[in-house]
Amino acid sequence: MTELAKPEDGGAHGGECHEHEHHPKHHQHHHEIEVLVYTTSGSYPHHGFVAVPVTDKVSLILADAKEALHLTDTSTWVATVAGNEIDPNRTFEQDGLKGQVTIQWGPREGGGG
Amino acid sequence: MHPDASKLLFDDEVGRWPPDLAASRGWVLHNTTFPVIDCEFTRAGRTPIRVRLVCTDWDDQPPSVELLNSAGQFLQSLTPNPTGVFNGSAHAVTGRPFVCMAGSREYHTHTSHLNDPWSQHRDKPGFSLGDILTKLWHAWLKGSG
Repeated sequence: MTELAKPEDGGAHGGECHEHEHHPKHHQHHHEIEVLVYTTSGSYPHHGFVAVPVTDKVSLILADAKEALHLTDTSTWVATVAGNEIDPNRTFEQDGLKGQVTIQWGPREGGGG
Repeated sequence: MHPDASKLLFDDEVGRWPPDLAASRGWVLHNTTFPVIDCEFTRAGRTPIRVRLVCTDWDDQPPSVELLNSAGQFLQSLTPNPTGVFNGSAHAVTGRPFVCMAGSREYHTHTSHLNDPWSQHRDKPGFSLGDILTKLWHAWLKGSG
């Protein structure tokens, strides 16, 4: 069953993930994912993982990382998990991510010719 | 660039890398002592490649990127890669396969790219040592073999 717990653009990272009334036994952590973002400018969070709703867009946590790490221009950056590119404009759920994930984030290759 | 100043820039950049970054990316850092970053990219099912960034005169000059096998020998040929970053032809200066990407010394000294000097990229986002290494890694991930 797919449950949509909160609006994707809520912006309240690390915030609440409410249980649905018709599934009172479900713990809220079932709707969360633990995320760590690595860049060569540092990691976000600095220690451990941050829990966010699986219904959040990946771009939200990347925006948090950009701010925390004082990154200036990430417009060409690509996010990967286990070497596979993910779509930041989709939710963690839609990207097939769950549990505990480490996102590698950095500039996309360019050049050749 | 005075070598001491170059070393300060180098050490500052490499010092910001999270301690677990390399392991989490499948990188094996053989050397990160100025002026060399010797990093091996590994991934299950792939033949590893070592990229050795020689950062003499950083950041007046971009790093020279040497392509090596796991044993540290220069590669004479490259595995397939669709990005165009890893060029299997002989570079006019080194005579070896090279990295054809802005941010590598071999790119900016190649006759095809003399109109795209390093000075146009230096200090811009995406051209720190970590960024250059990350871009090489991203390109390598898209290859095979």
